[in-house]
Amino acid sequence: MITDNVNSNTTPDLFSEEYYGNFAGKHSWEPGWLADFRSVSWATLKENQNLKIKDEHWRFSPKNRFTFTNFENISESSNSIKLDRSSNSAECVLDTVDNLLLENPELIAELTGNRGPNLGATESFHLTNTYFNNGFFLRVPENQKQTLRIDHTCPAKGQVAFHKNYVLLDDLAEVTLIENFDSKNNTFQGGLSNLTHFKIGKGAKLTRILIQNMAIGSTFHNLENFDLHKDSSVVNVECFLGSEQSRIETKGNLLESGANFENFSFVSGRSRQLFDQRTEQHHLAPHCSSNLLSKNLLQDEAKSIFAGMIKVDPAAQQTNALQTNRNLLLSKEAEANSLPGLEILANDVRCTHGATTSRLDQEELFYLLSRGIDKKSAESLISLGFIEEIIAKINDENLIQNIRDLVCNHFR
Amino acid sequence: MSTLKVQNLSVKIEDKSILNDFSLEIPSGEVHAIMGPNGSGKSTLSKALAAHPSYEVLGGTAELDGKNLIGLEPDEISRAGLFLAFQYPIEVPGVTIANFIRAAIQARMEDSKAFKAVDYYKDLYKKMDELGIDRKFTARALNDGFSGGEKKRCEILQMAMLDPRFCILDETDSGLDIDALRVVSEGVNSMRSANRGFLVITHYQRLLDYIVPDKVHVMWEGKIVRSGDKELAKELESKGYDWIKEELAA
Repeated sequence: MITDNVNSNTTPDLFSEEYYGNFAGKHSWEPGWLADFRSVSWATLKENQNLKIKDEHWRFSPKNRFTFTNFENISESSNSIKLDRSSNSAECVLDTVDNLLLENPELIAELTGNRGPNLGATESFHLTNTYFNNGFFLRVPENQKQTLRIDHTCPAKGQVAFHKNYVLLDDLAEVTLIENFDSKNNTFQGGLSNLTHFKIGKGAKLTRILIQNMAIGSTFHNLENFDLHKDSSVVNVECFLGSEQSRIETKGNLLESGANFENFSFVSGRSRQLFDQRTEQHHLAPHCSSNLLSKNLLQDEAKSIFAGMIKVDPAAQQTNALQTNRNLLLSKEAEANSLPGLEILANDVRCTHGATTSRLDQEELFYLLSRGIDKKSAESLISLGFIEEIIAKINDENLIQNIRDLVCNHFR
Repeated sequence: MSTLKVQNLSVKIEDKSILNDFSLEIPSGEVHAIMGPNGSGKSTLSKALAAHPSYEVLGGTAELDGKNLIGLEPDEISRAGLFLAFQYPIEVPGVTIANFIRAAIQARMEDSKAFKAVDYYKDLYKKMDELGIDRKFTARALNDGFSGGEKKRCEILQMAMLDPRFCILDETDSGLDIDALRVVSEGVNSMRSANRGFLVITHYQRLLDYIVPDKVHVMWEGKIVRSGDKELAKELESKGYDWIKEELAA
């Protein structure tokens, strides 16, 4: 077990040289290349910290709610991630960073060097690269078919966990990856910063399902970068229900022809929850397609920000890219902000984007009430109907029912 | 017993008064039809009885077996036993027919956990078969993309599944072809019983050939101006509403 509770007489500050120095000291047993990587990340973090630039990537977002200065310590690494190895074959590598650092550190070398989604959350990106002490590494060999499940646990209040993950699908591999982000109970209101790099080989297929149901009071940073190679396909379904505030950055890089990236997500927000989602569909090669559908369901004083960009490079002719954001507000105080964007540098493409925000349709509500269904249940049914389009992408009835139940809990 | 007794009901929408001292009693087991020209207040009556939020009740009572429905919430009225088949059923994307009716049934149960899914589907499929509704419809979103006939069949399916004490059919014949009209009417007729009352609102006598009423009322400017048996509907069909207008003016 690796423990990163760095002792200090004063309240520790993750940004202080002293804290970093203590952390580096405790990790002096790690390979030199990893120490160098952390050191470079730390230096970049410090360089960027003093930059005061107007940042479009944080538009509409109360950035102070995502600060890391409130955390006193980095959590104990081994408690924050659990892998279900029951279905993986001998050739498939699936392990925690915690274990690999001790037993097979050269595999971790693959973790370093990726640029991340780079959609504005530079602080969490560099902090995660500096301080990560857990995460998972998954490599599925050519032609293998796997279904795998990873559970990430949010630490207790005052603590933050940094997970850095790497998912590598060799050519023609086919994987369903289910990731849960949860808190053990309502007192686990710490922070979780999760950085994942996906490399999808030629003809490989990834179905990834993410369910975030962390305790209210917690903070979630999720940065993910998908690199798609020739004729590969990713269907990414993300369900955000928990945390006090979530910053979500998802980027799909369509690097070679024939790749297909589909990103579907929903938010079910209530009380003062904040969901700040930034996405980019980056087309770098011809004959690729991408589709994004983001749905936000907001009650009470919940707030969402969706900023999506479709970027088409000059070489990416015959691109087919769609982007849609739909928001349903269930209260007068709920707030949804949309920033759909296109940046097209090729001339033979089909790209569409659109965003809508609506309030609960009173005629729909009356119709359900007129059948004897009480108001809360009627709102819950309409809300489930609203997100059905997203969860219908999941090919697992039990999982779908679990997600529906979690959404219904928001109406009790 | 399922008697609906409306007394001196006055209703307005926005600033426009639609029903004025409207009174009508429909004893248990009877089917009454209300006919009348556009704007006479027929649909206002049905919406007001179901407590649609756009309609404001200014006075009067509407009792179902002695329980005043005025002032209750729409869901409470439904659970009290009143069912309104909509003229224009609402589309609810993403909510399947099966889940919707299930939620409505569970809302009527003291312990919703006692719900038996197997029995429910058995009953649902039986009634769908009777109404000529494809069983695949259970997984379709409620009224979403349905034809006019499919929507009305779905209304009758809900009515059959919820087994209400009193039913109001608001222009159920609109948008139906002859075959659909026959199937829907058969569905309604199969539910007629001594313990259930019906109020059928329609423009046309044609529906009343299939659902034969015990009484026919003519509505004009928010009031019942004439009542009679089923022959009154035929008279209206042949003479038109101008006949009533002239009589009232005389």
